[in-house]
Amino acid sequence: MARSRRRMGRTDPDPRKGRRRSADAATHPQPPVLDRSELDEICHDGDPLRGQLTTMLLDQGRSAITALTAAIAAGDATTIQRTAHALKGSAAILGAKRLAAISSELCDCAASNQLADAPRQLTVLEHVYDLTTVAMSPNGPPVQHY
Amino acid sequence: MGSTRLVITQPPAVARGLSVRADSPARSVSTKKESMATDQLVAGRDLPSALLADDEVVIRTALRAQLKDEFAIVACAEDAGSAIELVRRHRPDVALVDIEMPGGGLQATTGIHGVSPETAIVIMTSDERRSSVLEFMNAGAIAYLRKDAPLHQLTARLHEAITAHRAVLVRADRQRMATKDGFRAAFEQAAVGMAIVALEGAEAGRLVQANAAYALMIGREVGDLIGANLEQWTHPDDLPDGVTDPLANLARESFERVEFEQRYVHADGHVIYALGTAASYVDEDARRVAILQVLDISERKQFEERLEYLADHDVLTGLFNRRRLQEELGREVARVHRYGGHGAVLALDFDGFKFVNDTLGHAAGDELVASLAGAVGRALRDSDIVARTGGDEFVVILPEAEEQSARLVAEKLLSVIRNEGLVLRDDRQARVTTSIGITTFGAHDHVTAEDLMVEADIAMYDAKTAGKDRCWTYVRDEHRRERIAVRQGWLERLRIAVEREQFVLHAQPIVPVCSNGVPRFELLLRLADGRGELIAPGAFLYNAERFGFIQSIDYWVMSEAVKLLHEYHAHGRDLALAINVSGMTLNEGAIGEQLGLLLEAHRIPEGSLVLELTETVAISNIERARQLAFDLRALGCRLALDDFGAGFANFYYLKHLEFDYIKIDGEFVKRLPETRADQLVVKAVVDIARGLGSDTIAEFVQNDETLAMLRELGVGYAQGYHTGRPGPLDLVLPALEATDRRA
Repeated sequence: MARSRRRMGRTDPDPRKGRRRSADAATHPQPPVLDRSELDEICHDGDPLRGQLTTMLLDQGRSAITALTAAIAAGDATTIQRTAHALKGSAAILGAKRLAAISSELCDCAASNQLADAPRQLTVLEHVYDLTTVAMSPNGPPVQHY
Repeated sequence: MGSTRLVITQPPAVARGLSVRADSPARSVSTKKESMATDQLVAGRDLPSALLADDEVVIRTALRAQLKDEFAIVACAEDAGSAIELVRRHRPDVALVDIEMPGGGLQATTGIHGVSPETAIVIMTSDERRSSVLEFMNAGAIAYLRKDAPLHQLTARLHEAITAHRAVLVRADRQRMATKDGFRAAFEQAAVGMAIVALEGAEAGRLVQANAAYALMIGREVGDLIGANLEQWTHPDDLPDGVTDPLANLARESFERVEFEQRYVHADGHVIYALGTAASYVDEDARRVAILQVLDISERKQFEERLEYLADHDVLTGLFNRRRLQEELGREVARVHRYGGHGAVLALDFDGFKFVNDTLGHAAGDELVASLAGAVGRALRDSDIVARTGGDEFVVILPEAEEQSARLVAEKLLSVIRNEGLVLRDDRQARVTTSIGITTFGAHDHVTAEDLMVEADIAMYDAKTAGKDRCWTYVRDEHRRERIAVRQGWLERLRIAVEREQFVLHAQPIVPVCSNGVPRFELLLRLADGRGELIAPGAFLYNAERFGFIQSIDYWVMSEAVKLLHEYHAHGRDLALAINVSGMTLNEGAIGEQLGLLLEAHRIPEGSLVLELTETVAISNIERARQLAFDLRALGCRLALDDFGAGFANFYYLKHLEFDYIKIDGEFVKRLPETRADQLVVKAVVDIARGLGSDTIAEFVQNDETLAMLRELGVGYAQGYHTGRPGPLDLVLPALEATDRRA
């Protein structure tokens, strides 16, 4: 899958944003990448349903990133909003809270047609998606906070 | 894998806050896993049924997994359309609807509520924008839920939603029943007639319900009305056609509410006028019906018809009134002008009618008018039009009549009135005749209806002037318009003055020249003009005689004089009054009878009332005048010949009529001391009077010198500014009582 992997803080065009994010993180803690209790309420660890739901979410996320990349390049706020909204809901219900949060941010910006920050938000989303993928893997780490 | 029946052996958790976790006892029930391959599952009987509507498979799958222990998931839908259809088919207890989904979450909510009002709708949202949530609530949602809510909140909320929705339904049902009961009570007990009529299908036009008031109005039983068609009691002439049928318009939804007036036929056959309103609605059986409210307005209609009748008819006689006459005459004139031909107008006015009213009472007068109106009507053709235009005034329109035939009709009417114009009351009787004016018109006459009525009126007054009890034909001449205008002015003025007794009497002393005697005064007539000004008789007497008012005026003066004399006599005071009487009044001949009746009611001393006859109008029948003079003297009145010497007829009257006084015209008195001829004339008159046994009165006495000469010549009385100016009665006449303020 072609996607760019960027580490937050080094390739960000505005270093100040990275430092701000760090500062924000200190004052406004980010939601966890994965709240396993949400999934636990749906199905237990060994339940095949868990794996199916995880796969569904990650598949949706991958498709969403592709769609968002094209939509942001085209300035298509409607597609951005719809795609981000859908991903938000799916992520939230399975406890992928950070993915849900960034999707919500992107959705709100698209809803108000303010797309200037959309590329950056997409970058973040991609990064969070990666973190979520790791967290949701069967042997993934416990809930991560930044 | 195919669908799997879900079996739950434990009742669902309904308490708020119950946390259902993977290891909780609530989840350790024996369940069969549902298949992920299909969204069509069969509901378990003991669990509330639910439908999931979300376009994201992750959410549908997660929710289904979350809820499967406490709800029977009957179906899942990815868009609004399929959600609505699945709800319609399965009627779940609750539907979870994504706030944003293909086809619209709001549309899904509205559609689900429409097809299954008993399904509780819970909307799922990722945020809680209040405005959008309220919008969904208004569309029928009972609650909202965040998609990331904990499971225990999710299930508790759903159970609460179901319970709350059922409570709403029960309450709504109770309200509906209460409304229904209230409506039933109002419908059945309403004082106004009410009915519910089917608008569609085979039952269209038939009553579904009726109240007692409606049944009573049309004289039927309520039970007989149900299922009956409205047309059964609708008046045949009022059966509506497809265009005007109010119920048909309601059925076509052309209107929401209609008003109508119809006649119904009561069971006993009489006609009822009904005013109604109808409004349509869909009843509980999904039928389009109309609710009618109907009022019996028969009384109002009768009143309106009566008013219409009164607008056109005279109440006493049943003939047309003036307003309707003008309409009819206008039509006749227009017809003649357009199509040719001719017509005639007759104006009738009874002679002596006022006397009938004043002496025998208005009831007698009304009886006479009604009787003569009938007689006139019977004497005319069906095509002729008769109207009563005033107290004793009638107008007849004779279509297609020329002058000769109009005169024949007029003569016939004269005869009818003559024969039937007698009214009796107790031992008294009064008779009227009529004067008739005739005018004719043809296609080439440039006249209006108003012109014709005035012309006929003028001719009628000409008939009166000529002696009454006759007809007169109007002749159009070059002065017609001027005559009409002047005549209209004075006619109206005098008519009002007579009706409202707007005349005023002044008095001027007539003093004895040589000796004392009973105070005597001449009563002088004035007309009050409404602005406080008094008009002297010279300005209006001619028109009063011209238009036939003089008799009424003379009678009024005579009546006032008699009452005054009677009053003075009752107080033991002597008084003599002289009044002027016109030749027209004498010609009419009724004055004797009128005076007789007055004196019966108000006794006065003999000789206290003097009637002065003027020469303004020739006495047309000297024999009759002589008899009248005899009758008047027999009643105790005295006669005076006024303005003696001024005209040429005086000696003629002296020869044929007996007078008690001769009034020497002022022309021979005002320069008496210095004019020998006047002295000789006055002397001669005095001698003639003495020879006839009469006394003399000199007018226009202006100074002592004249008075002295009159005394020398032997004149009996003097009248003039020197001996007393005319003035109001209360200032000139002697006081009745010692305490009276008058001098």
